[in-house]
Amino acid sequence: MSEFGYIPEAPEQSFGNNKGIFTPKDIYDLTRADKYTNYGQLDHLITTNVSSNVSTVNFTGLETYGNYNVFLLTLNDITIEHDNKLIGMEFLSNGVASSTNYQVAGQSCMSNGSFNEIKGTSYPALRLTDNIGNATNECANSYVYIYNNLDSTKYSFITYHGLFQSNSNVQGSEFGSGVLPTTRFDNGLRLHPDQNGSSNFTGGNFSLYGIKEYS
Amino acid sequence: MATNLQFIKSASGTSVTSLSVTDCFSADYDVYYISMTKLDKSTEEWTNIRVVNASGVASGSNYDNARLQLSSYTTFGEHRVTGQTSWTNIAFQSTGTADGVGFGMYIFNPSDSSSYTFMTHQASSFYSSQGMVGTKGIGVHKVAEAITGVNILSSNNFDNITINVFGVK
Repeated sequence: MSEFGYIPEAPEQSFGNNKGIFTPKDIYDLTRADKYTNYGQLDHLITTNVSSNVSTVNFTGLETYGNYNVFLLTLNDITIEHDNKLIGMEFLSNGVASSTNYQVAGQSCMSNGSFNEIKGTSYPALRLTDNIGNATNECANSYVYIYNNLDSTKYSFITYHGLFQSNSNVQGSEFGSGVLPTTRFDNGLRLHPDQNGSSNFTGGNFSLYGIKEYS
Repeated sequence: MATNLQFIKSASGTSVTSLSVTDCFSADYDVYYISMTKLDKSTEEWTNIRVVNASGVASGSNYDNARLQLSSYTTFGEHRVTGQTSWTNIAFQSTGTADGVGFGMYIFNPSDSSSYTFMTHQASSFYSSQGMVGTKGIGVHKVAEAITGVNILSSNNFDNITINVFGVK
């Protein structure tokens, strides 16, 4: 019998090459060891639903879900308390935020005709949208890919593409990139309803997924 | 954006000027997601990408691509080319090992022999002496043939590179 308990002992199990008879415990143990073929590599980790005022949404202890190199964060129908604010995100290292070291570059595209470049090398947080409104039906949606944040030898990068309704109910979009150019173990995310100040999230949901890799 | 992903294959290389992931596209999926998080170089330069067909790396002048360069430190730039031998200037890479890269690409219809192969990409990387360099763009390989893989290349060595390929379910 193998160390995982499956029968027969040979061959050694690996992703894409599993043979034998497995108990639920075998499957659990092999999955945790990345040796069980289990398609569906966009792993849902956490969803936070907001139904009343909160100043931030935090995802912490990300390493406990697995050693992901890439995370996908989705923002769905996010509403905020105050008008004309843009959603920002900070990395947390064991709960500790960084200073104003974020570099960002985004292309904002408004459906009423104005396109703008947003860029900077000392932002207080990463951008996930442009300014959004707080009236009925004014909200934001976005998806964000997060790279290398658990790797303490690499900078933590993001790419994002958000869409939103502005404070004059004009549809807009912003896509771009961002980086925290510091080699830290960034095992947490903190989402702000206002990149530059304070406000509250009042509704919507945030979902975090891990993209599973095998070597 | 993916609804679900199925890991297909990864490839890694050290001290190579190109790296192929072969036999990763099939009729099982119409759309594929490719990620790169490890891409270290000793020379600052852009990374290019080609496709692989039944004969090997497709190096004909059949690649068009366009992308916006979003830099944190300077005015944004446009890059648009046609009839190239690869999709050019897809992601910038600097010389520091911490610079890494965050890179994602979607490939559409690669195994359909009656269709061109299309891609979209978005990346974030760091130019050591300047600041962040992001890209977002599109590309097409204008040959109606079955594509079986991708080839990442640059003029100088990749010190370390890892590519992961997923099918989008």
